[in-house]
Amino acid sequence: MALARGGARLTGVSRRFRVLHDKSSTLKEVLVRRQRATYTELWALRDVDLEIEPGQSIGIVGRNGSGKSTLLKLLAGIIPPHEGTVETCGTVASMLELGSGFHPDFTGLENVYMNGAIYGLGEKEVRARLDEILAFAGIGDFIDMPVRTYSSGMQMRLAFAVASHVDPDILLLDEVLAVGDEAFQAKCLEKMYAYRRRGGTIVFVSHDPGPVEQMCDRAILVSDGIILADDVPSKVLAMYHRQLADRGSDADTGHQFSDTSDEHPVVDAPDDDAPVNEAEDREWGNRRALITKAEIVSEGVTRDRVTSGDPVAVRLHVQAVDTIVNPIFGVQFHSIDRTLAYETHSGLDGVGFPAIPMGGSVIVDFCVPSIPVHTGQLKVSLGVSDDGILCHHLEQWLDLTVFAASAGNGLVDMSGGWTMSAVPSPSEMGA
Amino acid sequence: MATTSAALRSGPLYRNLVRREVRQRYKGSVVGLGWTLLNPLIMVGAYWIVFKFLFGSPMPNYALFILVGLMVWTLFYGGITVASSSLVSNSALITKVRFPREIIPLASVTANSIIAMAMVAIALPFCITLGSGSLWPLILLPVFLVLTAALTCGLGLLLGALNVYFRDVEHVLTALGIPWFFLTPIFYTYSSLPASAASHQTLVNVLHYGNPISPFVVAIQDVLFFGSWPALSDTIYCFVAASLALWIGLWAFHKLEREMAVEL
Repeated sequence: MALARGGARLTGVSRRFRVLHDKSSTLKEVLVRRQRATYTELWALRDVDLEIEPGQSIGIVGRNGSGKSTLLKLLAGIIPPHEGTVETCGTVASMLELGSGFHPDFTGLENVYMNGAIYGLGEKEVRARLDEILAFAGIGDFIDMPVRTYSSGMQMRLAFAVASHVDPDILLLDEVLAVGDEAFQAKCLEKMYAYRRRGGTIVFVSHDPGPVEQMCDRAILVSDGIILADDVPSKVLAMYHRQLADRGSDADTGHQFSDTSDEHPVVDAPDDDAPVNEAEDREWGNRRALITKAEIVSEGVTRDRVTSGDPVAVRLHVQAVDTIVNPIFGVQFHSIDRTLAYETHSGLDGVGFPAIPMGGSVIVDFCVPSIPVHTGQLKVSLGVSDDGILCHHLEQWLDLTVFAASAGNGLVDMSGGWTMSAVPSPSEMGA
Repeated sequence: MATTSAALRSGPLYRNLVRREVRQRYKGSVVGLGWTLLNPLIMVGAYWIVFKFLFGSPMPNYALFILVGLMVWTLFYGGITVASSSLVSNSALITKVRFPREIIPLASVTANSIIAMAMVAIALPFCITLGSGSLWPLILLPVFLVLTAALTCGLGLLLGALNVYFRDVEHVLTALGIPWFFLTPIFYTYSSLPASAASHQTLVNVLHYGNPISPFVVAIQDVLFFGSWPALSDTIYCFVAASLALWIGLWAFHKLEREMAVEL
């Protein structure tokens, strides 16, 4: 059966890897050594069948070394299968690493063209998208400076800005959303939603269940080279969590194709994601809409401190500099140790707001009927975007202190009751 | 059809790689692209002092003669050197994105050939005004330059792919550079050897045809410097060697390409 554009199919795919016991790759060693290198062959994938329909968003989860990254590289055509066939239809863009091919000595702009070319965009196509890319990256005049002068946050923003404007039929992502701060991740997710709405196929590898739950309509659990589950994300993720709990917390240790191999260098280095944080400026976006004022309102009064259980509204005063066709508003609450307490945006909550005409102003309220924070300080970040493209983001802009309404300690209000009942003694049971 | 569209889509990447390679080479230097011309001229100057003054070569326009030979050598040896290390130094691309990987060594060869073309641009007017031979053989110059480029691409693809698996290839190439240079007729011709060497005709033939680049150098010296038609043997050799190298290079590259992302 022929594949439709944006579809992909794996039939009986297997892929081995050699784990060398003594890595040697110089000519002399190969010529001089009398017997061949000793190595253990491990199956990164065994006899995998997978059919991906156009427009699906598939999340692939599994422990490191389970074969999920191999699966993605096979789909991308970067490595060939040892057995079976991999078919894809339409253009495929693989974002296995943001900014691969960035050259530190060239300016951001030069790297944008180079990076675009890597994804198959011509100079004209990059030029046509350039304004959008620069607005999305939001790095201002730095674009004419060499990339080595960028902070890692800026590099990530620029890299994602290019990658997200490629618009392929199939998009392959490997832990890309694991880098950057929460605000950056939210921005990426928004972009992904927009891509999905246009009917693009996404295959997304992660050992972080959050984005899979949010973004995918189908999930696959890969374990020891086979597909263990293929179902809706909630079911698959539940299974993944059980697996993690059973195996102990080795989800992040890496280098494990099987339980015996963890001392040897693995030829296929698995997910080498370096966490990047700190976008040093607290405000960014293309400024087609501006958050002119943000405040926290409780019982009709602007406050920066409330009591646990109070009604709280985050109020945004937004001015549309340009016509905002599909406005989406987002909020994030972080504790002061940068733990994400809660985040959402109106698109995620299924709320569709009408377009805001050019020059128009609106007031947007995000209402929490009863704040479930027990005690502590929260930092509130805010954002407005148009059709997935960020207009204005204020990072950790508002402070909110929550006072406890009951005894106990901690960030989340779990105040409850205690009970005790007597267990009947054996003698009484016998009686 | 899939390969054609893939090749078309990789056009921009090829152009960007060439541009990057050229600019990277001279990034931050004051003279910049001027080095492409200064470098060979300094070389020519040194050889001219050694062989004209110290050894007393009787050839007229000797500096120009060296420049012509050096141009072919730069096109060839420079090309295979940069191509051999190109895949390893671009491993970030190969392991993360799918595209026809041939374009990496080919872009390196292209960027390098710009230097050779600059040397042609210097040599050509002098060869035309100072030369005593005919100008007609010059029509073959583009043909032989293309053949040299084809030989370079073929060997470059082969060596670049091999270097992924055996990193010694680029070091072997560096080690061979100087002896190979002296065994190539860049500052001498096979017809003007002293009597002591001319008596060992077999050895001269081995040096002439055993060294893949020698016939190319001889043929280009003929058409550009001497203004004479190249020998039939050299011409045939160039055609056969260039097509064979290109064919073997592409074949070997496709064989070796499959597992490249795993090795890098």
